[in-house]
Amino acid sequence: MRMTKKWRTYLLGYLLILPSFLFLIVFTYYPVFRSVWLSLFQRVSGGVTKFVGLANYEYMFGSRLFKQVILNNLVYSIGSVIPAVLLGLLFAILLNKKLRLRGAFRFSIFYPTMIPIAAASMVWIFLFSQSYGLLNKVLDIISLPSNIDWLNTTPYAMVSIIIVSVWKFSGYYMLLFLSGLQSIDESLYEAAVIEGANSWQKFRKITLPLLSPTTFFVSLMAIINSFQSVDQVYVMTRGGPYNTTNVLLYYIYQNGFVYWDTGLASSASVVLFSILLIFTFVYYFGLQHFVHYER
Amino acid sequence: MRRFLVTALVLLAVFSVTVIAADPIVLRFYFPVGVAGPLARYMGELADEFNKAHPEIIVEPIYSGGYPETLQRSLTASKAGNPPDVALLTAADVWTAVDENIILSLEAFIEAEGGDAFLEPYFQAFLEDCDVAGEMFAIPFQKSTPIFYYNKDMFREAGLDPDKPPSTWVELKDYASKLVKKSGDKTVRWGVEIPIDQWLLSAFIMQNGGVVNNEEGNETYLNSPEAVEALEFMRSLVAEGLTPARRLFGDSSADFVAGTTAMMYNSTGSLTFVRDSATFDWGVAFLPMNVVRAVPTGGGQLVIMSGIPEERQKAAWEFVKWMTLPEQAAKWSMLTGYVAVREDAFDVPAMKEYVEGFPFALKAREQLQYAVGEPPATHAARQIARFMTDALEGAIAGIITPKNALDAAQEEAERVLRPYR
Repeated sequence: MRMTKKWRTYLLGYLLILPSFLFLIVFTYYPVFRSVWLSLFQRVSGGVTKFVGLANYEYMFGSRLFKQVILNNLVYSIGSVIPAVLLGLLFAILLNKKLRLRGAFRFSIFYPTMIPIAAASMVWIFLFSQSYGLLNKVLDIISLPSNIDWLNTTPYAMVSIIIVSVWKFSGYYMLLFLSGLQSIDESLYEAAVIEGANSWQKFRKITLPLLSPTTFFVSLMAIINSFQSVDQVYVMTRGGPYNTTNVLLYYIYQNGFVYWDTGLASSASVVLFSILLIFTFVYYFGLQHFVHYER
Repeated sequence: MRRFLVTALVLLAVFSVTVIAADPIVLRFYFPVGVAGPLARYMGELADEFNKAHPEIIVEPIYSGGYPETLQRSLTASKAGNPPDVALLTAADVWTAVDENIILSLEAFIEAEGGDAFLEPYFQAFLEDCDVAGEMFAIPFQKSTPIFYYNKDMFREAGLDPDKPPSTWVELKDYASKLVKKSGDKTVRWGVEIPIDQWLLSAFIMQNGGVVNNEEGNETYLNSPEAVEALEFMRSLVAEGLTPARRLFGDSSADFVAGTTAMMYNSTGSLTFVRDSATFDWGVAFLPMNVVRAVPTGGGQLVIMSGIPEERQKAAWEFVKWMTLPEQAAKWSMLTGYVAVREDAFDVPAMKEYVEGFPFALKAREQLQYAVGEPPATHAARQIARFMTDALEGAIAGIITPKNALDAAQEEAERVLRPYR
């Protein structure tokens, strides 16, 4: 009798997760395994493919382009994650204070998040234009080098992509930090004031430790994000000049949907999948071990 | 009873209308827009005209993005069992479409129309783009070539004869060094601009007597001495400060009309833009030659998808054939600026008049005698093109020597093409 009741509960649980589980299987797990499978083949004439074992991987890891793509992605990740997270934190701390027009500030920093990145990138193309772009005009006014061909020269093309990403994502990170800040108990600060702590001490000893779960979460989100963003690259530089803004996801897109080299695209997808899987493990492991939680 | 009768009549009427409406064959036609201008609207007008002339067929033109997206959509739709009937593909993608088995060989249709006699009026170089390893898979529709633009006012100012544009590489470099203008370190006017694209690298390779690929499309010769020398020449223009390091086609035509470059290589597709925007005296000429005179073609051709029933294939052929008749070829050329795809289009009265008022269009036609089908004409052509562009960008920027850049491109191409041998 007890047994059946227990089983019924189990059954109900499985039934309830079944719909989303089905979607996961069809749209996530199946494609993952299919990619791994496809990565072992190479296309030959007549819509046929030939089993080549690990040859796609061997070629890819040996190719100059793939090494550069990985390097580009690292530069992009480090270059965009650190400023975006720091700016997000800074804005959150500033806008958590009681300010006039606080809502307006919060909105204006958050709003890039709501613009589709492809549309925003189109606007940025104009800002970056060498001859009539606003950015060069501003640089000219403050007497800095102002004849920069932002999207067509190295390293400015990558810098441009990073600028757009920081502009786009820091508002969202600010929002996450804000919610983290608001969950910190006010009485801790009151106690600290009574003990004679200054603002730096309050920040260093209360805010930062208690915010660490949020910081950890935001940082990992940002890193994962940086491996998944491709829209700016597609719209603004198409990976150029000389592949200096070609990142992993764009490399996959190019090989998969421009060259129709499904085998190579799948191999690169498996690499991307593995990278993201590692970060996901770090996230769950880190949640249990590194982060300060108040229990 | 009366009510029943009325209902029955209405039903009958609806039914018969449906039957009549379902009778004509509806063809779906995927087309890209590759140049500036309201091309989608013109395409709609052209299809309407066809539909009026052919009551048994209705063509539905469907805008499908750029050339790569058009192949993407055709390919994915075909794989999903729901292919369009006709598509407009670039030469590189015709090869991919054949390799993916999604388009029909047109040999049988051409044979039935009279074989070589049917193809005769089309410009030979354009037909080369329709030919995949010796078999016809497409019919040329909107075609272009690169052409040489120069500012006659600046020629006069520099003491050059405005009616004698540079005709060889040596003259090109010589003129460019006379036309370039610097103020301090900054170049205020470039001698010549060459958009960074494998299309033009191919042009230089061919002008130097080189060949990009073999007939069968499974081998490339990217690091041949002719190719290396061609790229070295292009690099020398940049190294000597006559040409900017990186310009795209749009940038160059903008620079040309703004007077920041005295000469440029650009597509015939920019003729209309330059005509409408230039405020100075200018001219066009054949691309300067070195060992031989040569120019690659570009643009799109019409293909018929293979996954459709026979009667639709026939209707699709009717449409493809009609689209490239002299009247339509002339009309499309006048509306868009593409080169008309066949000789006899230039005999259409409206076209004659147009060419008279705009003789540059004739220059583009004359240059076709030196035209060669668009390279690389190979399997996986887009990938090969990318390797070439990478080599070009790297060498032009001075990151890698022309020889090493082309060696790397050839090695990559080898890997991709080996399975097709």
